[in-house]
Amino acid sequence: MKRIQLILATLLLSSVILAQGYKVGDVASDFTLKNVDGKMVSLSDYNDQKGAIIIFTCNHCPFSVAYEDRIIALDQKYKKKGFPVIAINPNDPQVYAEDSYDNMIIRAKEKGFTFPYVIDEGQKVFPVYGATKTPHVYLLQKVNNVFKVAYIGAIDNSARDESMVSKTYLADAIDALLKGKQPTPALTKAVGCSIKTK
Amino acid sequence: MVRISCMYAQKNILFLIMFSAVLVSTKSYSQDIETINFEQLEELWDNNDTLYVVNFWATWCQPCVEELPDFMRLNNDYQNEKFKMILVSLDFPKHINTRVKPFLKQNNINTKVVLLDDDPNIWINLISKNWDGAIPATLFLKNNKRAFHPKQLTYKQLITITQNLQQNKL
Repeated sequence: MKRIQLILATLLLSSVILAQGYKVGDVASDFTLKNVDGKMVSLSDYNDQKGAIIIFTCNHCPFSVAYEDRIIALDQKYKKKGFPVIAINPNDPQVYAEDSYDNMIIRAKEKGFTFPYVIDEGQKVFPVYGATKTPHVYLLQKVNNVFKVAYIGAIDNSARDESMVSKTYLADAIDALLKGKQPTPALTKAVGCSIKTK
Repeated sequence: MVRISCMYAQKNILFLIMFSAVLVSTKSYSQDIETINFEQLEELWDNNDTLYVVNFWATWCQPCVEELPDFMRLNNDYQNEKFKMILVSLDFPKHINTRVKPFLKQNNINTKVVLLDDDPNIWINLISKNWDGAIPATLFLKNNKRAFHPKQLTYKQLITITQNLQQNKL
């Protein structure tokens, strides 16, 4: 009986740990999600890259919208250097109609996204990563054939006003990786819109 | 000529009266919303027996807007007690007059509202190490007790948290 209790307690504890999502240094698992062009995109499609910039973002959140131009600029700058952007919309369109697949297609066209904008149908991927809000960044680095989480958090330190940015956290993290160094800080925080589930 | 200038003066007076009416009405309806940094925010509460409810929200945040009527109900319940509610808006500073003030007026929100403008990577950790910045989030303080809830709260949850803090159960 005691042994069963112990097993149950261990299971409970491990599920709590899993629910917290990725930490810096963890290996990111593969995903396959539908892009705005109708094609499926997998993390493993990027196996020949140095890494990938995973950004949980969406249409409805003003802080996400405020970052759209900055995300395009990051993709254009770092895709050439082996770190392309993959944007994932983690929201349930039944909670936020603006975040529907059709509205994603419209937004991607309007802004001329240079990167895949995929939908987390069934909201299965964002809990694995541990994303809680939009925008929420996970910078991955290819190490020994796996994608490792190298940086988690914010794009920079001024969502509301780009002209006030004094710390470009994400760009600095990628630059560090390109120089063979580990990002510092590897974890930053920012305000964002909660990812809502039904 | 005299008649014309007289009419002109009348028009001016009428304009002045209308203008001051507008001024008076704006003053009576909308509260000033100060844009402050985190240090100034912390000055709004004290380590004393007043219960402070500090809610982080924005007009653009749907779950925040959904829970606000319950916060106002709580504020009303405790109006005769040592109780202070502070709404910390994370709206865009350029939207204070166009969105925040009209929203407060429309929803009869009469509690203290400030707009926080500081480095989130610093102040979020100072509110709670366990918070990563998703809003809504609410901090409850009384004496040296703190309770932090980084999620949308119901009226029932608000009452329970508040009563627990009042009775020093936390």
